[in-house]
Amino acid sequence: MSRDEEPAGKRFSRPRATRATTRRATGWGLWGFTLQYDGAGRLKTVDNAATVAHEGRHAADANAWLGTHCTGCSTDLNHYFREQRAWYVSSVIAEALGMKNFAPKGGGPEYQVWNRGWKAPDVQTLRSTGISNILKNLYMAAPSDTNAYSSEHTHRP
Amino acid sequence: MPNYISVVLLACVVPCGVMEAQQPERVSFCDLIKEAGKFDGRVVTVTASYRYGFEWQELFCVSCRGAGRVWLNLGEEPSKTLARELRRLPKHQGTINGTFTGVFRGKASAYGDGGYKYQLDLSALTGVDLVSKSGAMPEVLPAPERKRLYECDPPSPGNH
Repeated sequence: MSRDEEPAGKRFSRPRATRATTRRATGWGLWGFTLQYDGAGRLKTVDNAATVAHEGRHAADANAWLGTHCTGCSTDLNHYFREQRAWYVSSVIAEALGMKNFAPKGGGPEYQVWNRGWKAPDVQTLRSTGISNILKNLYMAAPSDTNAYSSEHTHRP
Repeated sequence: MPNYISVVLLACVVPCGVMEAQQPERVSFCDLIKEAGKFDGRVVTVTASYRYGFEWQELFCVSCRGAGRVWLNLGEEPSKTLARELRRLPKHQGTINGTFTGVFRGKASAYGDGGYKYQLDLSALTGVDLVSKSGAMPEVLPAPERKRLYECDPPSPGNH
């Protein structure tokens, strides 16, 4: 998902496997996906961390609703708000990992939810704009959407 | 007794074989959506536009876009031919025109991420024409790309 996989200033201990190669080596990380390191032992796939965090937000939101199966309650989120929350998490994880920028892969700068070059006072605005563009132009989602959990899962425990 | 069992087994096997060999039914995408229930469980072939990216996708025709969202289910293990076609598509997102064949799930449900009313279990993709390397909504595609999106015929008036 990221536009740039290089974490600034983040150094990780080099796995043994990387000693045999100077360019790239792999090792198994949490959840079974492959973490890639470059010759300097830097974690290459920080975008995976942001993606896992994004999906984790979805899982947590779904679990919260499953606890009640309520209709119209605060946990009965529609797609717009589910994705808004998940992309917010992606954005702050990208920021925390020191990534250069972060957006859906293949998307232009208008879809960036994080950019290291943003000035501090602008961060919240630009983050919101990026998320808003993703939801509106890519997901075709709107705050008024009626596709909440309760409408999609009509069965009840 | 063994003969009786054979007859019972044949009675089961023959219809199954016939079902697998079901010939795709060519149908307009707009008619498919309009009469989704009628096509439920049937193998259909539709020509349409398809846009996709991380967590989003949309199979549509311009003339009846928004009538019902269809999730294109690529399956866990697509055939070699289908996998080869899919590999040729732009990597992370894109928009194509193509001819899609598969079993249509026309009973309204919550497919894909839950936001899709219907589903097409894709078994074949042919006639792929790349429209854009962007998977964005048609409204935000550049005009020359937007013009190339598949229009489809509007639903047939006498087909319901």
